[in-house]
Amino acid sequence: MVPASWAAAVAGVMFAVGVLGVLTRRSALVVFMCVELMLNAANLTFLAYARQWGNMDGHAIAFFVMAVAAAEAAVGLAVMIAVFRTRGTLNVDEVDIMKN
Amino acid sequence: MTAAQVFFIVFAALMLLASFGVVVAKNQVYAAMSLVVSMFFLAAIYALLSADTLAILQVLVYAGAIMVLFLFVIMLLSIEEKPRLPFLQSISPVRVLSVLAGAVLAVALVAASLNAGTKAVVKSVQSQNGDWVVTFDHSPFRGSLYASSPLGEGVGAESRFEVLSVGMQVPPQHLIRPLGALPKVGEVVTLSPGVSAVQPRFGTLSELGTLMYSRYLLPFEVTSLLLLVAIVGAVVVAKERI
Repeated sequence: MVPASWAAAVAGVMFAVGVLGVLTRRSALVVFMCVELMLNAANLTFLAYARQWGNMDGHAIAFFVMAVAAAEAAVGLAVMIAVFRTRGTLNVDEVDIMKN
Repeated sequence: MTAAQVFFIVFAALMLLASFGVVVAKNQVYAAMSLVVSMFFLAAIYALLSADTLAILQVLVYAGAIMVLFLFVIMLLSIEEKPRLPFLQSISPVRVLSVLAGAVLAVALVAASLNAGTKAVVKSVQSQNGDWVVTFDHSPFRGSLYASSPLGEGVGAESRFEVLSVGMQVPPQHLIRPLGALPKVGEVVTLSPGVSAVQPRFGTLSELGTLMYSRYLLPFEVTSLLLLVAIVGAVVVAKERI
């Protein structure tokens, strides 16, 4: 059997990789993919501890996280299409109208 | 080490490699394909954790739906990417700080996960009908829904024991089986839950479905509303003229 702490450690590294991507990449699409990575790391933790405690509630939460991630992907990509249409770029450094 | 643990290590290594590929990929399409690989290996890990239904859902939702959406948008927008700077010129203080922050976060999360045991102080030790009953100042086993025994184990300076069951009293009484010396009152022990064998129905679609339509009925319905709003919202935002 796989100890839950191993899975939690893997999820921790995965989350950190996601954070790294969000901080370093400039393309909004790749930043979005890294957010998906972070969501999945959280899901992995839920499932690992659900397994450890023999309790299905973690599965229910992971299910809802997946549904929310799907909704978020649909709306987020639509926003990106709209931004690209008006500004011609998806570089997060150049889309900075709220900075000034 | 069991076969499941070996598979877990292999899948986890490949999954983390693919996740890292998302971050370092030169091209957005490569990043998307890396994410697909990562999600597939994650589904394999879910299957190892007895989450059969969610493993299949993971493949369907991520590899099937979300990734197609990503690739669709990447190809629809046909973004021309700027040529990348050579590695040395691309180093900026912000980037160095980001990498440092990521590394610190990874180390902290891994350290926290691997030290998951709970320290507890032994409050009383009694003999009861030939068994040993122990109470702690707090316990990870309180309110445990475990069906199998042992629940886990405790290790102190000299003592070592298995926790067989936990009662519903306040404070809860733990039935233990000593593996070494008996715990003494006032001793600090590390309690860690064991990984028990789960029921055969754990993680199956019927079990998840029962949960969805009983305890989580309201969140389930709200989620369906959320998805409807997301569909309509995506069309409204992305369409030029309605």
